[in-house]
Amino acid sequence: MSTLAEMGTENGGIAVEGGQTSTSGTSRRLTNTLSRDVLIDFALIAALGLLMVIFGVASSGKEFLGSNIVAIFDSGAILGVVAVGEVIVMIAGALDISVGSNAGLVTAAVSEVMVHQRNNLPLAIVAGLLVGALAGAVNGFAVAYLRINAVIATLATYSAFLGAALLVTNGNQVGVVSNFLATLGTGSVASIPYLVFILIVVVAIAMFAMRSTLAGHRVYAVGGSPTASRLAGIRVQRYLLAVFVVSGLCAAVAGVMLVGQTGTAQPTEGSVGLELTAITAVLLGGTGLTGGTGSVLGAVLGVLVLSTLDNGLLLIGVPSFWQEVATGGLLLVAVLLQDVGGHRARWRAVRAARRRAARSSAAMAVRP
Amino acid sequence: MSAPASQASVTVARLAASHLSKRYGHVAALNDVSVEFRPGLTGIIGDNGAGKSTLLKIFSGVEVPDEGAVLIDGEPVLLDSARVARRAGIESLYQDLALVETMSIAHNIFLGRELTRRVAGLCLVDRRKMRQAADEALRKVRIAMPPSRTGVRQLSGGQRQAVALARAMRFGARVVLLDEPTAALGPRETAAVLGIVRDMADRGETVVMVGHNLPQMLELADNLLVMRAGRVVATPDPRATTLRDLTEFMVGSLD
Ligand SMILES: Nc1ncnc2c1ncn2[C@@H]1O[C@H](COP(=O)(O)OP(=O)(O)OP(=O)(O)O)[C@@H](O)[C@H]1O
Ligand SMILES: [Mg+2]
Repeated sequence: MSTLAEMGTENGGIAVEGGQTSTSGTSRRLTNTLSRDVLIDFALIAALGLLMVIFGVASSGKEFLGSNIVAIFDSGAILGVVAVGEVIVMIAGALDISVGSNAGLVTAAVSEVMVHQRNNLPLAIVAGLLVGALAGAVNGFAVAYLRINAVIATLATYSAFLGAALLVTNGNQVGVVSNFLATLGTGSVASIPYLVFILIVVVAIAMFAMRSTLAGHRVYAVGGSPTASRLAGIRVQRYLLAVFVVSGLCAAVAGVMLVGQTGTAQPTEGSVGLELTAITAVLLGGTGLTGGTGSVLGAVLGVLVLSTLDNGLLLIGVPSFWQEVATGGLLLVAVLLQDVGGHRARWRAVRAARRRAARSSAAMAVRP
Repeated sequence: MSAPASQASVTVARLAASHLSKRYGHVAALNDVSVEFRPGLTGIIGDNGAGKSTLLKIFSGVEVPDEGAVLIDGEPVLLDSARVARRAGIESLYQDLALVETMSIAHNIFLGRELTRRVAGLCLVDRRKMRQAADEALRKVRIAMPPSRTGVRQLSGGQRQAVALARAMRFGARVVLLDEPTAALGPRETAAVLGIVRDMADRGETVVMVGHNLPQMLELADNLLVMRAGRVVATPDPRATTLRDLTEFMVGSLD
């Protein structure tokens, strides 16, 4: 992982070709296009490999690879979908704390429709997705049009959605009877769980949208500088509203997946808390809090690293409290290595300069 | 108000304003300002805080005047956002440049005007075309620049200014407003930029430039506006005005 920091600082100081605007020099092009995002992705993949080897060796005898890799993806699928929505919001320079309780609210909505509409599953799923998107729209409206700080707005709706979910379900777990959902949530084809397929589809759409479409491009612009974007004629408020709706929709998909996985509406269990893990994964994936940078792929790799860590520690019998500690430690280490503002490079330079100054003043002192 | 250049006086000004006032709290940034911009280069000079940027910001749609109106081809228009102004053909280089630090040179030049291609009904960004066109636009600015895929964060102050300038010039606007476009440039780059500005004016485009270098303004501009404390205090003919006159206009009587 130490190579990441080095490559990162190298990338931060690309030499400027004096006066040349030509696009010659393929090697230079290569180093230039190997952006920070790509480097972080590589580092995360390396970290994933490393974790798997470590846990594979540590749990020798138990077949870590094979069945366990599937388990890692499976346990990360729901979190992954939530993280996709979260990373888009964070690229736009905002934050969505309400995604977990939004997912919980969606499970409540699905169960409510199932109970009262004679197990009409399509209707229940549509209702669930609508509730999630609408909840996202409430966040987006508050942030974009009422100009409430995103953390405050979604902290408020976090409570509100949670409360609504508890009201709907009376605080109870409600069973949802549906073969289709149960299969979706627990079944698999060619030993790949359906939930993983959903994750792959969501990730593929999000990656394409953020990388290639005009809308995705402008989300990066809006996150990078809302003011400059507005002055350039971009409708910043609409984009902000849109990313929150997308995030709400992702939370809704996660909610439906959760109903499938557990067979119940879960106003709190399994959904609340997703937001913090998702934000952790996004940060691991190299997306900053200041907006305009980051990638969907990075966030998903972050999710995989987290669920590999959880899974592996569980496998080698480490108490679950330590998993939390490990997650926190990993986040700190990763962010330090990513060295967002080049602070460490500066710190090193200052320290070296101090040392030189001390040495030269010492030399002055011994001189007669 | 002004005495516009001879033959142009029969036509309607491309961009004009009548009786603009703008207050910030107790500060009257603009006080009953009426101006007309015609093809060629109009220079705006005045001390710090005279209201030059405020005037340009009203034309850019960034600020809305408390009183008065903006006229395009003689018709009053409401410029209540930068988007509307840009659509009306008013392109701006802001004093603080308004670039997105996290994006490349090319993407900044095409910010809000991205080159796209349609694939299966989807609107996709055409990165390669933007890079090529941006490199092209930068060559015209004739300032040493890294390739247009480079991040703006890595540029010097002067290079950033060149990016903002390339953006303001690229789109063949009705009027180009430049707020101190050479403030961060070295002498050689300043000369290059002023050459381009002059070229544009010679091609018959309407260019408005705020600047503090009086000799330069006298030499370059076709029309001059002198502002002081929120008012336009003089519209001298640059060919028949001395530096001393200008200074007098700017600070009041010199004796
Ligand atoms: N957003 C604002 N809020 C409060 N006061 C402002 C604001 N913008 C400008 N002013 C005030 O309006 C007056 C005119 O400012 P303006 O920026 O137009 O000056 P300027 O002529 O462009 O000066 P400079 O040469 O320093 O760029 C100044 O007194 C300034 O303090
Ligand atoms: Mg100014």
